[in-house]
Amino acid sequence: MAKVKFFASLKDLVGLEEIELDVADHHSLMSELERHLSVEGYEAICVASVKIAVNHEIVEPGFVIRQNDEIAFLPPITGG
Amino acid sequence: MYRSISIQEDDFIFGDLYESFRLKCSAKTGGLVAFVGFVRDMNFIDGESDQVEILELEHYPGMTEKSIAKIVDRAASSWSLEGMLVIHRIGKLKPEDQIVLVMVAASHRSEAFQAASMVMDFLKTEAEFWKKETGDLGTRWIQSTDQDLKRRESWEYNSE
Repeated sequence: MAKVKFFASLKDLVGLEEIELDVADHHSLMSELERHLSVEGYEAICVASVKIAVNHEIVEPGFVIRQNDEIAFLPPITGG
Repeated sequence: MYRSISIQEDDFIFGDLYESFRLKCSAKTGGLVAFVGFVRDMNFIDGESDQVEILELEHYPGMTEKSIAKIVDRAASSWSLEGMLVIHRIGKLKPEDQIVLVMVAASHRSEAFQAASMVMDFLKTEAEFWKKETGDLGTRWIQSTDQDLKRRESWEYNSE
């Protein structure tokens, strides 16, 4: 199982802070999320400006997921 | 090089931090640059002015600390620095509250000014913080700006 987290505006749009999914890679993650999330929530995480982190490192499309990985969907940063 | 990074709900007392920071920097230090950011009472959203009541900051515990450490590493490898301190607040803040502090000590002033400026530009675009504003226009997540991204990208260009 992998833990999937949503932050800031994505947490509101998805309506969830966290979900646990049995996934092996980017492709299976997205198809599982499409199945579990609302249409609006899924569209929100698919926007090009949203970054994905695995175990606190930003990853590129096509990444692999291992047991107990922590995946996070991050909207554009507004710190400082 | 002395370094200190903190993400905290609590406010900070600039004078106390300044005194302890400057004592931790070596005698090679020729100067120190400090930037303190505050919450503004007015923000412009899609051309409308919003009277800000609350600014709430969310972060990603575990990842945000690592991202700030990378920003500090980047500054330390770009210039010869004697000390760096970064404090970023989270939680609910009000107008006039302190939100961020960056202190950089270096042998020469130009390095301290540049490093402090770079760290601020990167905090705005590379450290996982998100601002939610509540004001007379309602509650909304703040959008990132092209200007912030351009300022961040200008450092990539300058270092090439």
